[in-house]
Formats: sequence, C-alpha cells, structure tokens
Amino acid sequence: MFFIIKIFVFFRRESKLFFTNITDLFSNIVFFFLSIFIFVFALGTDEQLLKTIGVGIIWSLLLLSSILSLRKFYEEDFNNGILVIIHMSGISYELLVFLKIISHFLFVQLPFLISLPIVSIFFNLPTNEVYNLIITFFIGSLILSCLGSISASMNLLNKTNFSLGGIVVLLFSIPLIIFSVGINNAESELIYLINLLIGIALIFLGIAPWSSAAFIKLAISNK
Amino acid sequence: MFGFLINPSKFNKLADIILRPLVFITSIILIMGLFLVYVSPLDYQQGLTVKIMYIHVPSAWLALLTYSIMTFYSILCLAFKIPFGFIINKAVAPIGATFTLLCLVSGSLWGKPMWGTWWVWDARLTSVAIMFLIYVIIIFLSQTFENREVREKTIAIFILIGSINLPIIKFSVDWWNTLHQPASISKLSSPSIDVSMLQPLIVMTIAFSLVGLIIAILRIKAEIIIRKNH
Amino acid sequence: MSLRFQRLILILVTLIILGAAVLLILFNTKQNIVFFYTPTELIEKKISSEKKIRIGGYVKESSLKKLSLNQYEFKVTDNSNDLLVFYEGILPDLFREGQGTVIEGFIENYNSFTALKVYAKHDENYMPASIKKELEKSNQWKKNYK
Repeated sequence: MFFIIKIFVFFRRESKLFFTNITDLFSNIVFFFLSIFIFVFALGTDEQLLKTIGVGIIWSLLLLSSILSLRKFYEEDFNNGILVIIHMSGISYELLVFLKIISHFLFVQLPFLISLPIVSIFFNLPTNEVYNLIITFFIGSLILSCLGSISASMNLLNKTNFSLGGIVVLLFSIPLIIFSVGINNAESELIYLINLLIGIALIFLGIAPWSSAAFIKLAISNK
Repeated sequence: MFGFLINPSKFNKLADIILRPLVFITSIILIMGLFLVYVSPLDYQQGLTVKIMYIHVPSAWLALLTYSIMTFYSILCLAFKIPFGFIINKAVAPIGATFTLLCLVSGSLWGKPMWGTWWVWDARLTSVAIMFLIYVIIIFLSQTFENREVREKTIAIFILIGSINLPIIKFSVDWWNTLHQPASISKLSSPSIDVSMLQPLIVMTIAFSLVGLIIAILRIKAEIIIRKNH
Repeated sequence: MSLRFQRLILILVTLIILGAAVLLILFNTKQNIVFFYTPTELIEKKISSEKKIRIGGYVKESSLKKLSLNQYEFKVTDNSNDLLVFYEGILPDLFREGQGTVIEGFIENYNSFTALKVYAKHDENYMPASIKKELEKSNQWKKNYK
C-alpha cells in the first residue's frame, strides 16, 4: 500500500514537471511541423508523390524530433540528485527506469498523437492509413521511449560526443521503422504486423530497465 | 589450464611463446589456401566468380565469431568482474569491423555479376550492414568517455544489447524469403558444396582465423601495456 | 517492499515479457518480412496491381524467348503456378532457364507481369562444372526445384 503511494507521488511530480515545462513539448511539435513543411517544399508539392511517401516521411521526422528531447530524459534528475533520492526512498533503479519510461511515454510521446491527423491532411493520406499510422505510433512511441531511456542513460557522463545519443536511438529504431512503415503497404495482414510491433516493444521494454539501470548506477558511482 | 583466457600476465607469457611459430604456420596455411583457391574447379553455374566465395564466407564467418567472442567476454567481465574482458572488447572490435566491411564489399562485388545488383535490401544484407554500424559505434564509444571504468562498462553493456542482432543474421536466410542463398555448410545436414570446393574454403577459413588471431594478439598486448601505464 | 524482493519480481516480469515477445515475433515474422512473393501467393492473396512488387521463383524450362535486342519474355514458376513476364533490359549473367530468379515490377493482368528489374538468385549448391557433365552423362543429374 505504502509502495503504491510512492509510485503515485512519483507520477504526480512528473506531471507537475510536465506542466511547468510545457513549452518544451510545444517546441518539439513545432520542430516536427516545420521539418514536415521543409520536406514538402524540398520535394515539391506533387500530390501523388506526397501520398506515396507521406507515411515514411512522417515516421522518420517523428523519430528525429523525439531525439530532440532525449537529453532531458535523465540529465536534470541526475545532476540535482533526484535519482539518488528516489532510490533511497526504496525504489530500485530498474523500477525507477521503468516508471520513467512510462512517464516519458505518457507526457512526451503521446501528445504527438494530436499532431498526426493534422499532418496527414497535408499529405492527403487516405483515412485507413491515418488509422494505421495512429495505431503504429501508439506502439512505436513506447519503443522510442525505451530507446531514449537506453541512450540517455548511456550518455549521462558523456561530455564530448553529443551525437552519439542520437546515433544509438536511430540504430535500434531500424526494425521499428521497417515494420511501422511496412504496415501501410501490407495487404490485409495488419494484425500480424501489429503483433510483431508489440513483440519488438516488449523486447525493448524487457531490456531497457536492466541496461539503463546499469548505466545509471555506473554514472552515479563515477559522478 | 585456460587461465590465459582471463589473466593478462598469463596471456602475455603464452603470446610471447606462440606468436613466432603462429606467424610461420599462418603464412604457410595462407599460401596453401591461396594455391588451393587457384587450382579449385569452376562452378557449374557461376564459373570463375565462385572464387569470391573463398574471401566472402571466411570474412562473414569471422565477423560473426568476433562479435560472439565480444559478447562472451562482456558477460564474463560484467558478471564476474574480470577486467581482461574489457581489454579484449576494445582490442577486437576494429578487427570485427574490418572483417564485416570485407564481407560486405566482397559480397557486393559478387552480387553485381551474379544477381545483377550491387545491393538489395533483403534481410541478410541489411542485418549484416547493421552489425557493421554496431561495430563502428563500439569503436566510437571506446574514444568517448573520460572515465575508464564508465567507458569499458558502457561498451560491454552496449555489446550485450547489440547481440540481439546475431541470431537475426544467422537465421535470416532460413526464416524469410531472401535473395541471399541459405547456408551451404550446416551441422545438421551434409554440406551442399562439393568436396573439391569445400577443401579450399575450409583452409581459407582457418587461414583467415589465424590472421585475425595474430592481429588480435598484437592488439591485446598493446592494450595491456596501455592499461598498465594509466 | 525491499529492494531484493522488487528485483526478484522485476526479473520474473522481464522473463515473462521477453518470452511473450519471442513468441509474438516467431509466430508473426514468417508472413511479414518477405523480399518477394511466389506466383502462388500472388494468386492466393490477390495483391493489387498498383504497387511495385517482387516475385520470386524459377525460370521455366524452354520458356525464355528473345523478342528483340534486349526485350525478353519468360515464365516464372514455383511448380504449381506460372507467371508470364516481359522484360526490357540487360539480364544478369546467372539468369538462365531452370535457375532461380527474383523480378521486380508491376502486374499487368492476373497472370502477366512487366519487370523493371531482374535479379538472378543462386542456390546454396556449389559443384565443379566437370562433375556436372559426368552426372549428366550417367543420367544421374536431377535438378530439383525447391
């Protein structure tokens, strides 16, 4: 019982942080929209062309804009010692990472869902593709949160090579991109691909707490 | 008996003894292998191009072997706190990257005359290219952090995460329709490759492994010295 | 909850999650990551003709016709269904009758296909040319389709 209250307090703190830093979220979404515009103008506004490549572009730009918010994942909490305090209150680092992933998924990734229907209007995507896009993004953003956790915790003590964090996320998101874009090309096999995406999400959800916790422990002991 | 696998000083002692004879044996086997490749018969379908196989297959095999060794040592050094694993990981990663690159390039040169294309995005080719990227990131990581312990452990954990790719590479040709052909040599069935072509392939594989081993020994010795001086 | 107990529960949860993930992936990849379809799959699945697709199979014996300088017509088979293919361009070296191939292009009708790109697929069998001749002489050479 006491334990559940602790988790509840954790999420209340996260939501407070979310509302105080809400401009961050908006700037991410604005970045996403602007990059979509730039892509469209770079390719020319041919309607047929945009329809065929739309989903791929939306996905790759979602990926890039989720990299933007990576550094915020653990760094603040790490620098002002909140991570250690939470750990002292009786939550193991693995569980802490898991909770962090869930809160990142809820507060950073899910708001992008609102922007998806608007963006698909720009590309004139048919409605069923928009539905598929939203379903895949729902699962795929969980994968992105896990990857973000791994890469952010890996780079806690990295003071020189900033692009490395982005590289790691991009590398492991290759299967996600393959299947989530493939979903829109598939004929009547939607359920298989969704199961597959859930499988990949579960794999990363299983790996991320352990590896991130190991990285965080390493960073804290060498701070 | 296998103390040299986890103990730097024992490794150094053994390496000093075997290095010279090893170079000698390797050069003999390599020359023998190249000669066998030269006299090996032409394939009934592919003709002369089949000889690319004698570079392609050993380097692909060694790229996988190197990664497996790194995975093994990562588990060893994280779970049992054996620091020699870190030395091996750092020393061996560029060798694996080189073999992977060699495999990709020779495969590409083989693909152009046979398949009619340098590159296709099928499961086997893509997963091997991803393995090359993983190797490159490992090399980046070994230059990144200031703190040695952080650097080494980060590399080990990253290697463990990246090892998901190994079974995907191995079984991609069996699980999915690919343009790449399935493996010719597997344990369970008799090899679907004629003996006169199997012999040079095996000799070349041994020669490649020995060359890789010599480079690895030299690099590991250098790493041990660097680590001692810091 | 003590940290030890938490970790124990987390290990169990991780194992369950990973097991479920492996099951999900193994049961669902077979149909998905296809580099090409076979002619039978093409008929069964009624794949639409607008998108560029790849078809894999064997070039049917004595079906390759040269229409003009570099225009070809051949049949791709998987031993149960055939597909008539037109191609304009240069064929790869290994492309010949009875050999595996992957073609990329658009479906015209329900059983004819315009190829934009032709790849030759070779199998995992390697054999010296001289031995093949001997086998053919003694009538032991059997090319079996997969």
